[in-house]
Amino acid sequence: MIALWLSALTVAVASPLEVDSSDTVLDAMTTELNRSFEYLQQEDSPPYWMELAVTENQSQNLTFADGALTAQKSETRREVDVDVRVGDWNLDNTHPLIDGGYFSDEPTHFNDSVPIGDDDLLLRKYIWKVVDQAYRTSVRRLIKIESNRSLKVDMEDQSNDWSPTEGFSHLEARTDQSSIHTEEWKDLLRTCSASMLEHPNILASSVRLSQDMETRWIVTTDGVQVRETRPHVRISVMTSGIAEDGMELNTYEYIDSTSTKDWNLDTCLELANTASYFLNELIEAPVVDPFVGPAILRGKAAAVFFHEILGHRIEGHRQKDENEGQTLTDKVGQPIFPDFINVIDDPTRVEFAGTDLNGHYRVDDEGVRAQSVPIVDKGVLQGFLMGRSPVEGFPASNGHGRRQTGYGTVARQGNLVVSADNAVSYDTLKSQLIEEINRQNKPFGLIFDDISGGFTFTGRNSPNSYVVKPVTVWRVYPDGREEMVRGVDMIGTPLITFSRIMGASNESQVFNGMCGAESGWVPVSAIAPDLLIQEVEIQRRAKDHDKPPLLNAPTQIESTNGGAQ
Amino acid sequence: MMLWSIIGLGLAETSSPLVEAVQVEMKRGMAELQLDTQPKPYWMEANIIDASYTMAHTSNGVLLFQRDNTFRRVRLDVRVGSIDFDNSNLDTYSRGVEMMWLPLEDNPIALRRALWLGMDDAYKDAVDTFSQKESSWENREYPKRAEMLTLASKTVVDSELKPPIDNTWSEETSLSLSSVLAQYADLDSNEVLVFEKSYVEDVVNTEGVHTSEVHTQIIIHAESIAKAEDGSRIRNTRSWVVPSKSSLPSMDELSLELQSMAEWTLALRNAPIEDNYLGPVILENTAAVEVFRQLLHPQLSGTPPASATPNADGTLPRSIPTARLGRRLLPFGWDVVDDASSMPKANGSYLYDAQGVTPSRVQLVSDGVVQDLLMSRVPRSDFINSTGHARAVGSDRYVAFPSVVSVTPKKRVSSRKMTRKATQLAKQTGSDYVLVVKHIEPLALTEDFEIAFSGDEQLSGLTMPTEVVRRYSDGREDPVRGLRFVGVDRRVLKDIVLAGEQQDFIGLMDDSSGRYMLGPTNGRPVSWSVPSILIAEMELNGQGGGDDYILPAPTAETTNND
Repeated sequence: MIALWLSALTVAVASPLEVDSSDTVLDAMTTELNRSFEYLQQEDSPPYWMELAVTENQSQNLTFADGALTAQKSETRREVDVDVRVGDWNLDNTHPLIDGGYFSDEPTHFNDSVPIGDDDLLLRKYIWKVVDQAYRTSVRRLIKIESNRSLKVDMEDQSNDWSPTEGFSHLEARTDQSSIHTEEWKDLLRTCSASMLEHPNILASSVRLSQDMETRWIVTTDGVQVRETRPHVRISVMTSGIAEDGMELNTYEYIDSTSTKDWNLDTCLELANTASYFLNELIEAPVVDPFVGPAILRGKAAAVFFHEILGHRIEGHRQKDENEGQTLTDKVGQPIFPDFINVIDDPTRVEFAGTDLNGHYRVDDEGVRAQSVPIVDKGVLQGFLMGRSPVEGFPASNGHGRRQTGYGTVARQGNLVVSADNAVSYDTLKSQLIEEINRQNKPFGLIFDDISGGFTFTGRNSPNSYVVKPVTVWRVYPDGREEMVRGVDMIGTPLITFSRIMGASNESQVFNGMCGAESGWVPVSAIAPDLLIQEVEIQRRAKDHDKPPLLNAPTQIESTNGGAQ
Repeated sequence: MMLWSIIGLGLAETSSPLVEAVQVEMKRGMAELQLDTQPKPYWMEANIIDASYTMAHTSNGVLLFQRDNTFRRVRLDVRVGSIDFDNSNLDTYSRGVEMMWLPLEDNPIALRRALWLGMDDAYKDAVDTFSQKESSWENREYPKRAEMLTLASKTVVDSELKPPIDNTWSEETSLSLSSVLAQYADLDSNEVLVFEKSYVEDVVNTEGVHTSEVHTQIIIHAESIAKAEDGSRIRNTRSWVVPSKSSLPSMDELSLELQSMAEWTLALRNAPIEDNYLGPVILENTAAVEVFRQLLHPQLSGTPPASATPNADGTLPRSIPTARLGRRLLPFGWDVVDDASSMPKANGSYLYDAQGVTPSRVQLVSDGVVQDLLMSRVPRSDFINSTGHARAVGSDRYVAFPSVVSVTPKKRVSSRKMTRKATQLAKQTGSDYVLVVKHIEPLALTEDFEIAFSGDEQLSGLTMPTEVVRRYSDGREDPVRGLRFVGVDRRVLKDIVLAGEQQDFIGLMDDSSGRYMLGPTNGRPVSWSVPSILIAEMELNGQGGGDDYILPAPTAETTNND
């Protein structure tokens, strides 16, 4: 029996977790969590909360270029993540060390590789060492925190450092994926890759199939026990070429899913055709000058746009971090978008219109069940994505504490879903764009279709701006004619851009990708309709200056004595 | 091993679709690559590695990590200018050298497309570097020596096929050795890595050279770690680097050595920390090898340093000292020989170096004085021939470095006599024992990275000793721990008082810069055979302490059900 020590804020006692002897990993984790938590209660600064998480990743991939295999890999890895909190829910070792300096600070999160076998004692030995290190370091950091609190003024947000949660058990069955290292897949990818040779503008290309099966185990002293599996497969085609002015151009087409069962040669060829078509078009496309004017963001582009400029600013931890810009911290209950825009983040959603969603999970990395969270309702900000670090007015987690193994958790997005009331067809939206071009007396407007990604600055020490990096952009002239252009990035600041949204279509698209932030790379999805924006700003993209290859690409077999065979 | 030879002109006959693709693109590149008014290539070389490897990483008899991989890698070297002044030998990151991965399948078009892009990059890089070098040496006199020695055209193809690797063997061996360490439950951690690699190395250049050689390599690496009562971390390692499984000791011998390593590690937990020591030191076993390897290596490589780019004020940076002829490195009577080809089965031996040159036996040191140096194809004013010792790791510049080295004294004494002499010397310093170092961390495996910005902290000059005993005149030995060398450099070799028994060749992994933290499987294989030695005076500092565990280690009894 372990007596949990809790602060006066939450008086609850959890029993030690039950060991599941049919699962060696869970068994070892549970034993070590119970043993170490109980043992450390006798120390002067006992832990009040602990979490152990083990992540196993079985990955395989095949890569082809120009019709030949270039890489074939398979790997299995397991890592343990350990979080130990000393102090109490109100103030613990993870509290910000104000003006502490990066190099004099201690880590608050610990990670190491652990064996992939089923040796219970060995797993426990590896976990033990990380737990011990985590505890020792946490105690040291708490000493500094207490001193820091005396030296510095109080933080504006006086919320606790951590919040309690209910214990529960969520144990999914473990599953195996079949190997992709088969002759059938190799033949298919080889054929698909060879098709790229038909396009002389493509300097380099690759066709890749990757498969991952991630299993996460989490145990916490709240009484949480989780085993969750996440299968992920991606088939992708990458092309690169070079324009006459030296600009290096790339296209990347891919599909994410949970299984390869619906994929065949046509799936790959369709990606290859799209990637090569757009590369050829981009190479011939003119470079556009900096411009301000109306634009349509097609669904995928709009999804990335929302992920970057809204999604990162509604992550809960940013609302109490005094280095953050806190653009939306005081805007709850106030309109931040036109009244037809609604946004939720729903990690429990598995798919959208037949597309598997990357951002789906059942339990977050802090041991809290994922929840659908209303963010914006009829243009009004409703709340934030919360992990277990509370902020004023939001004392509890809504299941968004996430991380890549090796990082500490913070609040992150899962499946961000944007919808619009009074939506119209895309054709109508395009007509509205042309009307706006004429109204503003602009020579053209823009349509952003595909986007490779983007980034945003949310801190106070830099302008709170964003950059969205489109792959395919069209100029739309007042007569409705479209012309592809290249070499532009979309830039802006969030609050102004939010207010410029004029309309939306009734067709939504999914962006599946990986998002990188303080807690590492996590899989995310964003879903949005096409959006008409009254005014966007574009700037020229940085470009390379290399000349294309001097010699023609080899296209025929020549002997060493010269000449073709 | 069957060899056949063809003397040809231009590009040599081919032996595989991979080599043929390289030769076709090389020929095309030599004929057609030219940017505007910039110079054309005058020479190209490809060093091609077609490799497969397997590694099994275990602990306590359980698999931690297993990987099988096959790769093809080419290093393209393109030269513009002339043999008297080209883009090579400049101290910059890029020098017209491009490293790239190639398709694993013999698809000629796919291979050639990859090479086409790589060669284009290498040529443009060569032109860029050439202009940097021209600019650097404008109004200065460039040394009057060729950038590179010419080679006679030759084709020597090893007809042996790349042997298959056996991941079952590596996994079983790793698990079996790891089970030996698993018996030592008090170890903090233990790990065994078994690595097997086979590869074909082809060298093709536009002088008509094509050499091809099959290599195999086995590496077994083991570590044991424990914590002393004062929190000190105690680490010990063992490594075997051999060219074939048949060169490995038997499993029983390997097991015994791992037991010895583990027992030593555990024994050190309660051993005293040796205070600051100044006096005679005996270096035995692998410790003696590491001393010679770490101190002699830079003195034997004759490749001149790359020329530096000028400072902003036009002055040239201070030049790097080079190995010198006539320097006394060792006492009278000592010889050093490098012979890469005399023992085809020795770790580090080869038929052709990375530039396709057949290695020759080199008498480097005679009677303690440097008589000759190891050379690559880059000459220096006093050395105009390659000795066939050009090697590199990755895209580093090829430099000459040791391969199979024998360090031999004129006279050897028994261990007893050496101990007697050592304790006599120790008495003169007021000590009734001498320190005997039996194992020093291999340079490639050390976790210590030393850098000094002032004279306050003296660099150790040698990696950390991991097995040290106090030896008394009656032969009794007591282990001590926590020692580091202080201020060692090559001059200490002149203080060798006695030499003991000559050891067999011991395999290591090394690289041209002798850099730290290569890891157990990176670098190029080398072998050293040296005697144990007594050095009249060395300084070692002792230090202990650290962060001890708070939680007791888990045991099978401490389950959740207790």
